[in-house]
Amino acid sequence: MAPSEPSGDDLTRVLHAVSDGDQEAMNRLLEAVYADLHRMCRKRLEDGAARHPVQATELVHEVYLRLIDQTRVNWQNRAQFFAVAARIIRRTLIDQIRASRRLKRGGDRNHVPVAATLAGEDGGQIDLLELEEALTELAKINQQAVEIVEMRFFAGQTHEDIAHVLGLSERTVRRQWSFAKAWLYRRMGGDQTNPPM
Amino acid sequence: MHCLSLRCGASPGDLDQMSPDRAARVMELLNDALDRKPSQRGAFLAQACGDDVALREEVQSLITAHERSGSFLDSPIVPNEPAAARSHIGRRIGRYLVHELLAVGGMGVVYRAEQDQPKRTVALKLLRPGLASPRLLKRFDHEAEILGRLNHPGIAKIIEAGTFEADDDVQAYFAMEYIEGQPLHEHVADRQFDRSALLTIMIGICDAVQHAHVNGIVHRDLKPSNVLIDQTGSPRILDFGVARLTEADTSRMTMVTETGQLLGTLAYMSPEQVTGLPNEIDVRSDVYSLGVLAYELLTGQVPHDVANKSIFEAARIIREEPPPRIHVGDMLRGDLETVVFKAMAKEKQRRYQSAGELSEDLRRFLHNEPILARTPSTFYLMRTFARRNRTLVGAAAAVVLALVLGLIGTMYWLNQAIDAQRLAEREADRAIAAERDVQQRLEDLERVASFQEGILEGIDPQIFGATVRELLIENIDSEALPQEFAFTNFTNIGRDLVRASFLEPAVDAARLRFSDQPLVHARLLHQLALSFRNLGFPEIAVELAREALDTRRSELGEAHRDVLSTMSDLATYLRLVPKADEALQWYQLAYEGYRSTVGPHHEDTILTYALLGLTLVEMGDHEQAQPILDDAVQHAETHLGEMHPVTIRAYSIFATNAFVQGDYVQAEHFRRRALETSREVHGPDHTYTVGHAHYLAQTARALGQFDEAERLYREVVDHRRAALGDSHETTLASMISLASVLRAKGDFQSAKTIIQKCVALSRASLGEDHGHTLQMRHSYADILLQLGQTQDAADEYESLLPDMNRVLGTHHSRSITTAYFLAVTLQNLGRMSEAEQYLKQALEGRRQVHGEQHPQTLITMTAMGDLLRELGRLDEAEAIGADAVAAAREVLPAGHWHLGVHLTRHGKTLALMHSFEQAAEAMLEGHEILQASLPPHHAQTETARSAIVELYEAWHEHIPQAGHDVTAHQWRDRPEAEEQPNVASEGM
Repeated sequence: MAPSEPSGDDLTRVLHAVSDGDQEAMNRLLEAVYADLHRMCRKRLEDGAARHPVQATELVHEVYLRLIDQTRVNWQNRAQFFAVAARIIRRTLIDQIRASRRLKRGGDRNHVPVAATLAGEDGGQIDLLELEEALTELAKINQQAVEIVEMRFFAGQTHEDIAHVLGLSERTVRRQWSFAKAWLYRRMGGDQTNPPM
Repeated sequence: MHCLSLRCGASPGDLDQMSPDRAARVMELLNDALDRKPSQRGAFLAQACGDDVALREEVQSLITAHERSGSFLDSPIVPNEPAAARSHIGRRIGRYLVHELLAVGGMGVVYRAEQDQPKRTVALKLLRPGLASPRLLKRFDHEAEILGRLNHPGIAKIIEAGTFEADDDVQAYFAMEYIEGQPLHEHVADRQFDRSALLTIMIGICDAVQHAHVNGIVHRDLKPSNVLIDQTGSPRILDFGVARLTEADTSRMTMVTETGQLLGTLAYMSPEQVTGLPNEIDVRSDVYSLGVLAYELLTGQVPHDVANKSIFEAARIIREEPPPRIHVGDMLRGDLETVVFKAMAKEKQRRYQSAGELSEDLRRFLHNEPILARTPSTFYLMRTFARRNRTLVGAAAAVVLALVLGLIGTMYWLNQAIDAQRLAEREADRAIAAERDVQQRLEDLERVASFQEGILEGIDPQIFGATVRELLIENIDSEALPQEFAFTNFTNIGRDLVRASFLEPAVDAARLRFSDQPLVHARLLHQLALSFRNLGFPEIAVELAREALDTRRSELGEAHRDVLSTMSDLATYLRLVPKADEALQWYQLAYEGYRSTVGPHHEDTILTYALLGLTLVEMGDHEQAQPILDDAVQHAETHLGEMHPVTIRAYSIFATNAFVQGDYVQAEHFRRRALETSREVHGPDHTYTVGHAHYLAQTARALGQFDEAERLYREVVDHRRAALGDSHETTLASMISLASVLRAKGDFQSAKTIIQKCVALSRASLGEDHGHTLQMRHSYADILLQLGQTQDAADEYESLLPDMNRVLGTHHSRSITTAYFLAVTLQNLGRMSEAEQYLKQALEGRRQVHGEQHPQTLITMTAMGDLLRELGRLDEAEAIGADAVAAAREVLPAGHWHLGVHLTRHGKTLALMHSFEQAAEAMLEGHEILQASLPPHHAQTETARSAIVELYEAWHEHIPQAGHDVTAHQWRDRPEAEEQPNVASEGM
């Protein structure tokens, strides 16, 4: 009784395979998630009633909830999923933001406008495009730190989850995170969340 | 201070030159430094970096950045649920020791946990913090106890519900029987079941659900993931009643969660659930979900795959679209499909009324017995189709909830856009283009919001009520029903339904959703106030408008346009309540506000001024109203021009004042201008234009221009029939007005035809006992009387009176009037004792309702005098007649024509008693009064004149040679007039 589209069932199996190190399964998962994000964005656009800017958070939630029947995924699988999904979420968001900027200049209509900023906890704003630039540069000197940022920021994983998925110690994850946070903060101008002193 | 703007090229540790190795070293040093106290870091770095100054500066710069970064990147895009969840492992929650995470779901997480006493394994479900409201948390124990009573092998037993403190937050949990099993989906997917095995599982599920239903518990969230198949292969249902504890129904979910988690369960929800009518949810909602489960088990697909749809589209599909046919591929297919489709019927009444019935039919099918479900007839399907497409407005009423929710949704986005705009304004350097973008969004959303508001205004409770009535009659195939419901006012039901089901929840939702956004909240209240007004609940409108006004005043100050328009609307609702004094004050304030902000010549200023005048007219203060209305008309014409909606309003209000003061000529002049201008400005078919035509007809009638009145009323009737339908209350009202003009013209036959039609239409659409139907039946009897069909009239009144008494009570003034007319008609037919009985009833009613000396009471007394006189009970007749005359002298204004009638009638009694002198005195006074107060040749005056003739003739007969015959002759020679039946006296 599997529905016709990539379902929770399929993905759960794929996830099992991924955690066993199956690269083919990983690719399938990537494809499924990526396709789904894009399909959803298009659907939203076609649905005239919902022609409002998509909030990044909402988008990600929807993908996750639609792809995974949560009652059947244990937490390790879930961490695996997010490890993979984090990269895709990051990429899709950025694609959408860039597309919606182009759209304003009369570009491709096949994209939904995505709010380019995220509200920080203390009222500040994080510009996702700036973050993207900074991450790209960070990747040149510390790829692992970027992966940790992806999993933590884009997929909400804990240090423990990340350590498990990347095969690192929690201490290493924590130290990499501290570095990435300081480095990105400095790179993005330092005034992203706190008022200048 | 350290410079943090490091994007300028002078930053230490230039990226391009930094190798990954060096970066790793920086990372290590940074963390080692951070692990130390700030005071020791300098020394540590100096030692660790040696003479590599660049390295030291790089690390130092990152330390500074780290300390300032605060919560930077700390809130992930996706909140981290399982992290919070896993932290409970090894903890004790209530009486349970948490062992292992079993599942993460939309509502929370589930653990395997252990209880000591008695020793057993439980499934512990922790609801997500914030999911259960404080109010719900309070009644948690009680509810859990009820759920605990469920004792059925097919239901996972709820052991306990409770709360515990977690991270300064109260969190709720359930302990449930732990079941080792496999979710239904997986179980079925892993094996090759034949159909009878699937049906056996389904029957097991139904039986378990039935057990809960018998105990008064509805599941509300039946779906495959809530059904486990245990190791014996039997189904076990999870989470019974949990949905209610968390109020996890659509309306709430739609607004509270925006994560889309609803979408997974939407496919199993019944139409009433997706429509968000919590009060409509009952056992039959579960029956629907069971139908979907059965459908999915048999076909491998849910009937409506709504996972990719927007929530409104999904709701529409579930409410309207029939499920695809089941292709099982054998002869019995039809029967099985019938059973499953019956369970999934859109209307609850057409489903199996219990899970037990569904289970019975499945069993019958399994054992090759005939099933009880019947295929819906073509007739039924056609009716359903017809009903769905009946009128646009009716459809609007049906989707009104979606609109209310949609409106709230739009308001939410609107507000986001406004915030974004403010932000854009603050950060002026953030490109002007972005701001323009936000502005565009803002305008789009404004348009959507006003569109939705517009449809909301279009809800017509009468059509809604009529639809409800039809549905009831259609769906309950009992003979008794139509009769029972014949005496129900369905417009009121429709009105109450719209209010209770849509508007009141909308008020609550608005309050909940926008508690921290007062202006958005005020805007919604403002809109909802209008909807309540349109539905005929002005009191509620007043309350909401007051709240909106308070908020807007404190947020925007006194002079803001929104504040002024809210004041003016509040005043308009107050007029309906009616609290004219207060309305006047608000209009005054709004007017002054407009004057000083937009100037005296602005349309809003002039309109508010005219409405101020109208309020004075309604209060009867014509003197004060007149100069205001003069000004309003003049200002409107000068500054807005004749072709302006406000000018038309001003004309119309001016005419109203003239009309109520009896200046029909002036009234007619302005009414005609209003109508002609409205035709130009709004178009001939616009509601406003039709309304002006109605008023002009009324004025023409008052002027005695019956042909013109008839022509106009016919126009109004035609427009309203086309726009609203034949049986709409407003259409009927204009038909009645037309009939009354025809009556006044003397064209009783045409009037009768129209009224007859009205009665039939009103009976059919409003119901037998609707006030309008009763009123029309009364008019119909009146016209029969006028046509001389006295017997028919008497029959009509006689059948009407018991209905009136039952619906309105014997002491309602309309019941009394009907009793009065019945009595007088019976009197004309010579059925005197019956007449006396009804007249007594009417008189007693008048005395109690209106008081001893009310003009209507006096008229009834005189009628009683007439009757008693005819019965020959002259003493009684004289007594009551004398009382009526004495009271009339006391309470009526001097020279009032009623007194003339009382005197004349009393004189007749006196004449029969041979008190000729007194009789003559009374009658002559009476005649004189009538002649002075009524138009020439009025029927009452003529009646009085012929009574005088009769008096002198009788007097002459009694005392000949006194010259009374001459006097009689003189009176007889006065101009002729036709005899009028005396029944026309009441109301006069």
